[in-house]
Amino acid sequence: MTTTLDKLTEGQKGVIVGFDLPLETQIRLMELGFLEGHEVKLVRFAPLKDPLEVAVLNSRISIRRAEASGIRLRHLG
Amino acid sequence: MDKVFAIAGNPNSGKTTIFNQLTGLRQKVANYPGVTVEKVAGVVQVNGSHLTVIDLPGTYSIHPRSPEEKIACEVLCGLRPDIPAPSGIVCVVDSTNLERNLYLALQIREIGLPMLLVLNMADEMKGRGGRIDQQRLSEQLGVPVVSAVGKKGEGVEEIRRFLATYAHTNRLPLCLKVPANAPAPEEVRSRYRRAGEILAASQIQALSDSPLQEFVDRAVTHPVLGSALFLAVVIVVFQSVFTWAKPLMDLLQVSFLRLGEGVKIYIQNPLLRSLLTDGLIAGVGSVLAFVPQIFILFLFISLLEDSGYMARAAFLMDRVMKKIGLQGKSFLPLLSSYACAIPGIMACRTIENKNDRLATMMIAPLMTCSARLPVYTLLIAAFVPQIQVLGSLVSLPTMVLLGLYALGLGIAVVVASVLKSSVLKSKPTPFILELPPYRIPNARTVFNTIWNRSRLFVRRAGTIILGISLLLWVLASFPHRGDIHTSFAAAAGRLIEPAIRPLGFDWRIGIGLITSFAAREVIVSSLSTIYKVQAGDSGLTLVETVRQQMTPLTAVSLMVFFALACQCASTLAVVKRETNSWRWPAFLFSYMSVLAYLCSLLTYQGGRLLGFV
Repeated sequence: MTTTLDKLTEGQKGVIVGFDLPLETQIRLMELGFLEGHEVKLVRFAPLKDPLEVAVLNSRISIRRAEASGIRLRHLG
Repeated sequence: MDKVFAIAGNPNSGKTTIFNQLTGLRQKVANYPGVTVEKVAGVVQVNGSHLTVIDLPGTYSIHPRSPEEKIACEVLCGLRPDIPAPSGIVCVVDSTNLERNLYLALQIREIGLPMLLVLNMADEMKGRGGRIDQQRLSEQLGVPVVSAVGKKGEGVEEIRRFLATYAHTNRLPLCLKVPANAPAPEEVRSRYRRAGEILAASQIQALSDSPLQEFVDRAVTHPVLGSALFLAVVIVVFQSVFTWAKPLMDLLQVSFLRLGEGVKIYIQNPLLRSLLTDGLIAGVGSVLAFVPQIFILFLFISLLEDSGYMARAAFLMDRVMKKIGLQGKSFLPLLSSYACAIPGIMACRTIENKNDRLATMMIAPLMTCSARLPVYTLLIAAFVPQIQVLGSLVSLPTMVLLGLYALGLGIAVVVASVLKSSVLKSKPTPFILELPPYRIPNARTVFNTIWNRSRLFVRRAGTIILGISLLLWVLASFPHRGDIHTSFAAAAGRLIEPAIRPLGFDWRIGIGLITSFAAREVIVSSLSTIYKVQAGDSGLTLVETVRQQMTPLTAVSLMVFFALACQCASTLAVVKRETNSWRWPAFLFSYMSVLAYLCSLLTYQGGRLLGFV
């Protein structure tokens, strides 16, 4: 079952399967470790549900909802 | 020319700590010609020869997208006319996040220059159970590897040995021009695959999650505790720049006053005496008066950045700031601008996105700084009656003061939105921000930051501020020595009177506007001098004199003018220094002046239509 990163709830994980983002944004995210096949975890939302804190590789990255909705995932629960 | 070495690495990899360990205080901060990226260089002495070491901006990649990445790429590839190709590259990586750090290391290795990989924060990795076979890593990567703990100076000796080894070699980089395009996705994937392979081959044990990090993170982001912490940080930063700096500033002011008085006794020539005391000593004093605020603000900024909290604060505030087209990182500079726009504008350097940084700088001077307060207090005391309003909850003077704060903020919100949707419209660059691990700030790094910032301010902005102070001294003291009433400033005041008449200002306020360009609060002493000279010493207090000489409507119009005008040479000087061009200070001055003029005009003429005087 595929979903997007912004649809996860706090603490849920997924494996990246693809992107629906402008190429430049996609490359920037990829260079930070958002690669197909990598596991990501939605750590938490900021108080107004935007931006989101995501755990990827051994780091925490904050991205906005708009970008998160362009990252397709396979749900891991 | 000295041999050059470059230090490269990810942001938060501890690169700068290593750089500080290598160079100590022998550092020079300047701008790369033509851009706003800072060039930080230091000198290291090995075996009797002096080597220049450049601390490159922290980047995740050297594919040139941002100005920082472009500079890093150009310096590493020896493509900058102002810097010779490096003799070697020291690549600092965070051992607790090797895979991503190796991505950059692989990119740098492809340049083909002698390279040293520094596994920084090795103690943290070991503490979390991680183990690396350095020998294997070195073989896999094809470059020497040392492990280091920057804050303790471990590994620095090995780095110095690396510098010594390559101090006399000359190898040319393999890249001959900066790549024009972003890498293809496949390129990123394959480099990450390689990083994964290298890691798999050389990692003996992967590191486990840090319970301490988890614990701190849970506390910092806790709905109640976290909010309390955020509020506490905001209040402490605000209060410290506002009030803690005050005793030091007062001390400086008094010292310079005393110094002036001391000098006065020894100099007979009244002109020279005035030049030295009212011009030079007062000018230097007004420059140094900013240093305590800059010092304190950068102490906090550096503590917040190094501890990892700054990114968290930006994460919390991003949504609110996004509404006016800015971003989370704009929050702290704007907050500190309420004390003084000078350190606030300097704090904008923490905003990586250039357009967001410029937009934040352009609205920072609209925040009600503490130099406006003496002006507001005087005029409010003279004209606003002490009555209670809103069911005797607050007094009218307080309401007026709050109104002036709100005016500045409201206009700032509008200006930010307008700027971000016009001149500073950026391609919708996504707000992507690493939230680094929580770490205990390193005293040496913190001290270095404060030292560099204060020194830069005094040297770069300070000289401009001093120049303008001296110019204003000339205007106020000539041609008839010491008599402001018949000075050039007065002539200029009369000259601009027709222009400011519609705002309700006469030539005497005109003088105040001109002299207060040195610092807003100067208008208080200028008005006091002018009114005294005119009215004679009548024994009235300044408040009473002002009440006699001005109408209430003029006072309101003047306060509106001060809320919006960029009556501050120091602000312009610091914007010049931070943007590396006169264009932005010119723009800042123009738009704020026009805005102030129009709003004052509206206030005064509107007020008159409504029957006020």
